[in-house]
Amino acid sequence: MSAPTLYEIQLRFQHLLKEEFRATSPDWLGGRDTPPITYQRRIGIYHAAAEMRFQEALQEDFPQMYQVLGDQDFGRLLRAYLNQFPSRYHSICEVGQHFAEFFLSPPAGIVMELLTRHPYLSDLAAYEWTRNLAYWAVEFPPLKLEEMQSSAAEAPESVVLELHPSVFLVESSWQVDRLGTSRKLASRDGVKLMVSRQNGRVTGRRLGKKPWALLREIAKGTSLGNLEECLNTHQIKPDEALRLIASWVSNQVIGSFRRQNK
Amino acid sequence: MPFLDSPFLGFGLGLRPIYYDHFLEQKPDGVSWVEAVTENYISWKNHHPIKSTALLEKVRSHLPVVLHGVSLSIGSVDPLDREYLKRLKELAHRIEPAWISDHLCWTGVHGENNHDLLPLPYTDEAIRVVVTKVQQVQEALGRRLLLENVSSYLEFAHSELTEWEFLTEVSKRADCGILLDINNIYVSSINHRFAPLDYLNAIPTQRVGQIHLAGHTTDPQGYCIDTHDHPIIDPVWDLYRHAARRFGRVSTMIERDDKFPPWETLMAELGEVKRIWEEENERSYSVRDSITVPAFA
Repeated sequence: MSAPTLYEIQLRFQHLLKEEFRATSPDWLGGRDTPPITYQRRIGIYHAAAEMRFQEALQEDFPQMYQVLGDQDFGRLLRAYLNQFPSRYHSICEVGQHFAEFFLSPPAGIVMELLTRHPYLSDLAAYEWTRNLAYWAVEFPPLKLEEMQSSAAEAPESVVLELHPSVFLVESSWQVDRLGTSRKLASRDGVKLMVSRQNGRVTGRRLGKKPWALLREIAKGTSLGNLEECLNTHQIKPDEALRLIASWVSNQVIGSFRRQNK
Repeated sequence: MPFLDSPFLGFGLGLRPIYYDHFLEQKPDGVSWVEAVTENYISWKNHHPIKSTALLEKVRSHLPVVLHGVSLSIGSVDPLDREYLKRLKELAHRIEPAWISDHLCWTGVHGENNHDLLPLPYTDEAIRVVVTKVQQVQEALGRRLLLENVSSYLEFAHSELTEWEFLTEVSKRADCGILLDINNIYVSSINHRFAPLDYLNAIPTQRVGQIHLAGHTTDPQGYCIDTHDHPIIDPVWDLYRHAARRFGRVSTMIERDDKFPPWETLMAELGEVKRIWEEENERSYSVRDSITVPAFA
């Protein structure tokens, strides 16, 4: 029998890392295959290390999901996820970025079973990954309120406010922000959340209808001078809007502004 | 004579978040340099105020830094990841590391990354794959690379060489340096039943630019696993003693990645590295022994 090529070995090895070791020993393995150091044990070390590494990384990024599912189901979910979205990243910390997407077209079997029991998994994955994005977002020097105000006074229709890179708006049909504390809250009441980082810590704050509408309009890139329609629709008084914007600038929810060409 | 591209920096540690406080403001007593894991600083997950590349720059302002990668996948049949290389080059430009290293292994194929240091068959085909890619990396970075021997848990039926022959041949043909991990030699020697001194004695001294030391785990069946979560054990100290004598002025460090001991305990272990080096080289190590790395602006 001719020797397998490097490509063939790597392909077969990678395949073995992803599934339980079969009873037969691959003919391309060498060295001793006698107890206690059998081929099964040798491959098993790599297999277990890979699973542990991925599980640790995803557990860190999706702590609430891990808490809800428990070790065994989280591990089964992880295997199904990695089969569909194997890591193509330099850093293992990035491997969870397709988790929410994965639930949108889930494979049959364990994932469908878990979704039946926990229909909010996609929303929870999206929320937890967003928290992750907020945590790792670029740091910005704070915006000066006076600077923004003087530009806005000159030509409000050209001033577009921008959210701080660590601020994200999340809307969910499920109370994804409270799953970690009580499973009963996983009901279809729906929440509107502002995820942000303050002093290195990430929080998910619920917003009322008016602040949500205004902040979402700002996030869409609507200039200050063109917010009127939003204010009218949601019955937000101009001085109320100004107060909200001032507080968002002070708290670094709004991180910068730009002038837009007419 | 050690690898000329790598200055003798003395004795160092891996830069790990748990010990950041000791590195941020000043050079800690007894530590002459640090090794940073490249991937921690080239991902988008490096912007957090307390975990950023800016932090690495701060450390670099008073301490030499070397960059140690885990994702170059130099032994994969896949082409080099140009984006990775680009980011590594940018990071090197910012940090001005004393040298750059990665592992003699592969991490995935078909564009996948299994985030593990997987072993290669010791064949001429594998040498050709690695050498071509090392040359491409060295050309892109404008400097020579150090490649580290990895721990392994299996061997391939079609290997034509021993691991040390393979490592030596790669370093000669690619004209790169070697980062010699003494613990990895010990771990593999137990798992594959070879004499670790045969390995050490076969490595060309002029290629070795850095030495790693670490602890490992031994399972109840006697199998060794490279976990970096225990103190260095006596047989590894013995091997280091031999290496210190054979390789001489080679920068040496301890890798600790889990079950972190108190700072003082780790420093005592690093002090032991220095003491052994001094004994084997019959002289006292001092800062003057280090070749100065240009100050970081």
